[in-house]
Amino acid sequence: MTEVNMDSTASSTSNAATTVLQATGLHRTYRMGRVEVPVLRGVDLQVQEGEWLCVLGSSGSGKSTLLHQLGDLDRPDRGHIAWRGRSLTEMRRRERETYRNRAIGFVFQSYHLMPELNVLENVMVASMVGHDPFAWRSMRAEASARAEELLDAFGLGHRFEHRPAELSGGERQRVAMARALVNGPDVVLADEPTGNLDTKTGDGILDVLAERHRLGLSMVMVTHDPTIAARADRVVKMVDGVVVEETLST
Amino acid sequence: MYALLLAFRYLRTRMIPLVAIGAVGLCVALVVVVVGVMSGFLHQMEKAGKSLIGDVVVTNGLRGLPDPEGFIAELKQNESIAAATPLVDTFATIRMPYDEVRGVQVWGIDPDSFDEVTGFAQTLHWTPEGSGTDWSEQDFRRDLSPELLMGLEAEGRALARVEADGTVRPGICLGLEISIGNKRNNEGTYDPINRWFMPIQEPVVLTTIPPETLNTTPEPVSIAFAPVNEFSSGLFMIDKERVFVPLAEARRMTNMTPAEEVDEEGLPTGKVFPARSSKILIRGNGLPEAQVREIVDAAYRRWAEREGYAINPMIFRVQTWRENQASFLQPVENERELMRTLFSLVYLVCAGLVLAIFHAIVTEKTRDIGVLRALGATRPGIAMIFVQYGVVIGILGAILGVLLGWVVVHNIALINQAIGDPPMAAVFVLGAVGLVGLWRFASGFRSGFLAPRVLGTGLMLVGFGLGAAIWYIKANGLSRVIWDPAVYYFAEPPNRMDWWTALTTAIGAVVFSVVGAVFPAARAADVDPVEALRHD
Repeated sequence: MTEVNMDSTASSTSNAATTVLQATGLHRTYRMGRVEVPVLRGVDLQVQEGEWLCVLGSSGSGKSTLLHQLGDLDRPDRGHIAWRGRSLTEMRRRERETYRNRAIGFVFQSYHLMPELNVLENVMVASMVGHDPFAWRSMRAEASARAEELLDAFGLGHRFEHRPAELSGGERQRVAMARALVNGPDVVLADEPTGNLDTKTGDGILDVLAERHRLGLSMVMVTHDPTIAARADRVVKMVDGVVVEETLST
Repeated sequence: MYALLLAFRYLRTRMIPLVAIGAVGLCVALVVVVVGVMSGFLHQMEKAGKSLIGDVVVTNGLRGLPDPEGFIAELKQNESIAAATPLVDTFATIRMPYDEVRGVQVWGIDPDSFDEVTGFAQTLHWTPEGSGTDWSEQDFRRDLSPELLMGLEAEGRALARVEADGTVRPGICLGLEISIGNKRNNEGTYDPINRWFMPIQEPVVLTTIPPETLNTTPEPVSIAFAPVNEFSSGLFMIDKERVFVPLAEARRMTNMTPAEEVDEEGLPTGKVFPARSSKILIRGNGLPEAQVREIVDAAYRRWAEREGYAINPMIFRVQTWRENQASFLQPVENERELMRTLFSLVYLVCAGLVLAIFHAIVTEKTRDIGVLRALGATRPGIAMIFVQYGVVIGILGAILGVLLGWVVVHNIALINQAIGDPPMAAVFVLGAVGLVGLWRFASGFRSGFLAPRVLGTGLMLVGFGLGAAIWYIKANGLSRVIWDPAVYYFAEPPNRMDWWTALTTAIGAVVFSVVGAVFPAARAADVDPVEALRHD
C-alpha cells in the first residue's frame, strides 16, 4: 500500500516549496436533469504555506464547490489540483484518502459532528479513520492526548464527555475545528465556519482560527462576508465560477 | 476502529436496531424451540426404544430361535456382552376381571435377565417411592402402605404370586394404559379410577392360538395369570398394548416348549428339540451398538453351525435397537429435518429485516457518511461500519434467540399448562392492562393526539378481550392443555435443548444478518460525499 508522504520537508523544491495547494484551470459542471449547470469555469488558485486565503463570493458563485475540489471530495471535469506539486489525479485512491485524512482538515458551516459520539470521540474519530485497528491501538494514547490538548486550547476541557446536542453552536464549531486539526493538516478548508453563529460567537471562532494561523497553519476559508474576508492574508473574489478579483490584505 | 465504535454507538442510541435484534432473536428462538421439541420427542422415543429392547436384537421370524439359553450361556463368555435374555413375543386376547376382552402384545420374559438388559424393574409402577416409576406430589400411591407396595414390587420382579397356601401362580405385569383402573391426568401421572386398582386378586386370562405345527391342528391356549403389577415404559403405545408374563407360560402359549422329534408317521425319534424364543435381547458392555451387533452375529453363526441349527438368511436378523425400531423412529427423524429445513426460511426473514432497517439507517446517517469521507474514510471502511453493525445485530439477536429458546424449551410444560389452563390471576393482570389502555385512550381523547388513542384501543382489546375469554373458559370448564398427556406418547412435552441446532441457527442468523447488511453497506460506501454533506 502506497502512502502519501506527509512530511512537508519532503515537498518538491523550487517554487512549490511555499505552494501547498495549487488549482489550475478547474472546470466543474453539474447536471440537473437535462440542464447542465457550469459551476466552476476555469479557476486558478494557489495557496501558500502559512497563508490565510479567503474565497469571497455570493451564493452560487462556486466557492463551496471549489473547496470540495481542493479537499478531494469532488473531482474536476477539467483542470487539476496539485498538493505540494503532486497532482491529485495522479494519486491512487488510497493515497487520496490519506491526503484527505492528514493533509486536509475540513470545517463545515453546520459543524457536522456525529450525534452519537461525545466531544472527545468526535475529535478522535479523525485519527481513527486514518489507522487500522492494530495501528490505532498503539497510537490511541497519543491521539487522545492531542485531541484533549486541542479541546483544552479551545476552552472545552470540561466538555469531553458531552454530546454535541449538549453544546452551544460556538462550542460545536470549536469541536469541529479541533477535529480538523487533530491530524496536524497542511491546510484547513473552512466553509462558512461562522455562518450559523451570531457575530460575537463567530468572532470568537475566527480568533481561534487566526491564532492557529499565527502558529503557521494554512487556511482556505470560504465566506460571503467581506468583514470576515478582511481578516485574511489574501482574498479572491469569485463570480459565476471564475476568480474575478484578487486582493492582498494590508 | 471507528467502524466498530460507530456500529456500537448506533446500536445504543437508536430504537430501530433493538427492533432488529428482537426480530432476529424471535426468528432464532422459533427454530430453536420447534427443532428442540422435535429433537426432544425423538430423543424420548429413542430412549424408550432402547430401554425396551437393549442394544441388539436377534430374531428369526415366527419360528423363533432354538435353544436361546444355550446360545446366551456361550455369548456371555464374551466380555463385550453385559447381559442377554430370551424373549417370546406373541399376540393374545386378554380377559380383564371386569369382563373386558381386548387384544394385547404378550412378551414372555425371564424377569431377572430381562431386567439386566432393559432395566425392567425401573418401569414397575406399584413400588415404594424411589425404586420404580417417578411419583408426583399428589400421587395416589402415597395412600398405600409401604409393605403392600414392597410386596407388589417383589411379585412384579418375579412375575409370580405366592398364595397363602404356598401355591405359586404365574403373574402378569400389565401396561399401565391397559386396565381401566388407571387414567393419566394432566400432570402426566396416573389416578386410580373405577375402583379397580392394585392389589387385584381376580385373575386375568390370556388366550392365544399357537403357530401350526406338523400333524397338529392349532387349538387355542388359555392361561390365567395373577395381575402382580403394572409397568410404565413412558411410551403410550407400548403401555396401552403390552403385557409381561413368565417366559415358560409364553412358551406354552406359542408351542416353543421343548419338543420331541417325530418321524413321517408321527412316531418319536428320540431326539428332543430344545425350547425356543422369538427373540434374544442383548446389552453390550458399553461398546457401540454396531460393534455389539457384529460380535453377536459372528457368535451366533459359529454357535449355530456347531450345534447343527440351520440359519435361514431370509428371516434371520441381528439388528441394533435402532435398526429394529427404524419404522418407528425414522418418520420422526424425517419430520424433524423437514421442520428444520422449513423453519430455516426464517434466515431470509432475518436478512430482509436487517436489509430494510439498514436501508433506513443508511439514509438517516448519510451526512455522517459524508463527514467520514471528508475525514479520509475509505469506501470499504464506510461499508464495514454497516457490516459490523449487521454482525453485532446478528450476534446479539442470536444470543437473545438462543436464550429465549432455552427458556421456552426448559419451561415448556409450564407454558403449556399456563396457555391451556391459565390461572385466574391472568384475568386480573389482563384486566389491569385493559384499564391502562382505557386511561391512555382517555388521555389521548383529552389531548387530541391520535397515537395514545390507538395505543389505548389496542391495550383495551388485548386486556379486556383476552381477559374476558379466559374468564369465560375457566367459568365454563373449557380449559384444555395443548399438550395433553392423556393423549400424547409422553407425559410431558419434550424439553430437550438441541444445542447443535441452536448453534447452527445462531450462526445462520449472524450470516444472514450480514447478508442483509451488505447491500445497504455498499450503498453507504458509494454515497457521494458532497451530496452527503448537503443531506439534511
